[in-house]
Amino acid sequence: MAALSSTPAPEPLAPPPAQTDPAVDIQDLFGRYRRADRDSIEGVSLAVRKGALLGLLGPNGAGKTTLLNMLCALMRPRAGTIAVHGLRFAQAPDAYKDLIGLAPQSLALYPRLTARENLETFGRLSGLSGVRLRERVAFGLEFAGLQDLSHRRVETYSGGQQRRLNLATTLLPDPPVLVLDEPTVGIDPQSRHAIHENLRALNRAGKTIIYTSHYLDEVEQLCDEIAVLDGGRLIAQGAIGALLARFTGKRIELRFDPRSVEAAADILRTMAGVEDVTIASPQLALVTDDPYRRLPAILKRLAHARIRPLSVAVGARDLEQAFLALTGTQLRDEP
Amino acid sequence: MRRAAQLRGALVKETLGLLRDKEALLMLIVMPAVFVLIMSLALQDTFRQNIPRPMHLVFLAGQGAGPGRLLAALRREHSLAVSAQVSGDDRAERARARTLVREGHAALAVVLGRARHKAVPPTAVLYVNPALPAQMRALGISLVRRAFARVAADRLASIVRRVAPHGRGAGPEPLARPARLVVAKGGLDGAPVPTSAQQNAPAWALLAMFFLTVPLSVAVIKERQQGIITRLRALPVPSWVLLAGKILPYFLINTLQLLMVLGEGMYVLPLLGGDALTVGHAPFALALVAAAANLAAIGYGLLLATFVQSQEQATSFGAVSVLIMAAIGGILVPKMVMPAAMQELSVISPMSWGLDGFQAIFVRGDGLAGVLPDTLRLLGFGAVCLIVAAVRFHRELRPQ
Repeated sequence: MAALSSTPAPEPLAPPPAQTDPAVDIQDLFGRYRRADRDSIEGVSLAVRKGALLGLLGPNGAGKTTLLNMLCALMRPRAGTIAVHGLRFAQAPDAYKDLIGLAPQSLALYPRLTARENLETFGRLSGLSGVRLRERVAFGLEFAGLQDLSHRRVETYSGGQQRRLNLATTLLPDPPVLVLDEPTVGIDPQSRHAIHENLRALNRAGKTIIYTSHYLDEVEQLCDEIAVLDGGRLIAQGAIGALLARFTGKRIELRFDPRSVEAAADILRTMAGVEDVTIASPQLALVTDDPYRRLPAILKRLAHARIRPLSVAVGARDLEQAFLALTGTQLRDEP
Repeated sequence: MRRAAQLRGALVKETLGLLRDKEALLMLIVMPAVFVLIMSLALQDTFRQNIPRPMHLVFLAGQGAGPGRLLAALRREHSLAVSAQVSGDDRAERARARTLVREGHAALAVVLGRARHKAVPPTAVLYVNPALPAQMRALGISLVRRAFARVAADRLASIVRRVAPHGRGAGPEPLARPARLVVAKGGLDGAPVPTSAQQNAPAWALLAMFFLTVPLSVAVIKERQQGIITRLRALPVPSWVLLAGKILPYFLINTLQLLMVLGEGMYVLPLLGGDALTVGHAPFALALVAAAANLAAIGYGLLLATFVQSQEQATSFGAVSVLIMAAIGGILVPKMVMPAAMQELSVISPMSWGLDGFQAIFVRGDGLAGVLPDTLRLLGFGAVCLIVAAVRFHRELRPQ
């Protein structure tokens, strides 16, 4: 299947909400790592409305981390602009950083310090002191559910406890925009659930959240909007419902006896209106211009070749299928 | 206000991290304390006057010098093996003496010149093998001096005998004026030698100070590997705050370590039969040298931390470079037992500057003025390291 990465500009999935005063406004952004011979981000423009819970998706090497690094002022854009709440980094570096809380993918905590000491350290490094610091540390411990374990060293915590604390640390200075890079990697379902509940609460309270994850099911559950990057370009942006509706209208899944899959695929690839055929034996997935109109002809042609599908389904089932349809199924191993 | 809170945060986390790093504390505090005890006691006799065999002294007298009494006095010194030769003029004998000691054919060479006038005593020049350990040089010079003093005493006695016991002019003619001894340049003119404790206490304290390179650079590497540096880069905290947060805790732990080692040398070593450490009478000079050595060590540690890329590099390169500095600088092997060439090489090691600074106070009793050159060298080295480290650290933290 051909990925849509070469699409020059993303097609909005739904009429975008009014972006008169976006939380994050990225315009025509290009970014390249030192010594790299090509851009990791190529001409991305993205507006994230205030109060959005945006899932930033993309296969490995799509440019997600590069985009987040530039957003969090860890990396300098080669061209283009980024504004957070109307402020650019160059205008006021400290004030810009105050607007964003970054939860890195790795557990960015001091393992020999306790949870409380970690929160106090990062709170102070964020510029907090006195009563405000104590209040935010108490909030952080409550957020992470670690009030009773606050005096234990972080190195003794479970993976889930460390992940929750990692996230709580990001919230200490109470920034309006949260950037969460794979915040639930390697944790148990209970911790994941707790993190999701907390993030929903923060979002309801007005926080803008940009969330990256390879767990598309959790993005589908948690986020209301997505942006999909591939090959350094933004290939889709909008509400999740609109994305699913778009692929629901194009996808047909057929299940066969495994011995018939290849022959069926050969037949279907020659048919008019079939844009793409993907084999995942014993299933075939087709992308067509109009599945309901094409389906009778497909079944008739297969019957003519004495191939009978065991089951037929129309429409994408979930975000993962929509994501694969957008980005293709080719492996994207990072170097 | 904000910077003060950030600085406090940086200081607290580094201090707590260091205090909970058992391996680092073992290396920085326990290791020097144990080594000072062991090495001071083990090397005690070596640092006492204990020369195993007589030193070879060649006595060269120019024509007409009349060496009789002086040669006899030298031969009475059991620690000297004296061979005498008389030939050539003064200048030729001096050149020959220089060659003999430089090439190691003799430890000492005395050239007795001819008296130019009856009223002017002749001059004897002592040449010392430059490769001779300082302790042996000092001993050799003092033995030769004793022989000369004996001749002078004999003359004085002859004068006394002439004028005192049986009345004026009753005794024999007094002996001729003895020769005046000049130690040729390059010989140690009786420089004091450190005791075992004065060598080992500052030496091992300095080694431990510089060994902070390992835990310090490992801590920085861990911050990188654990992604903490990414979080720090995303915070509105300047690099100098984070750097200052790293300097002060290590400065304090190094100072504590030095005080413990000095206290151990002064009060614990004598209880175990060792020489008590005497630290001179210049506390301000001592504090200055200690602070300068401390900053040099921290600067080097931070510099290394900004270059190494892995914990393995930090531990191996950090430890090896510090041990080389220690070996060259007279820490592992006392400089006074090194050959001259190695002693000259030792000036490139910051640990040598620190050791010289401490020993100037402990052994020679110097004050601020005496330790200033070594202190300035240490401060210069530390400043250069810190500036380069600060620039590199700043570059790492700013947007790439």
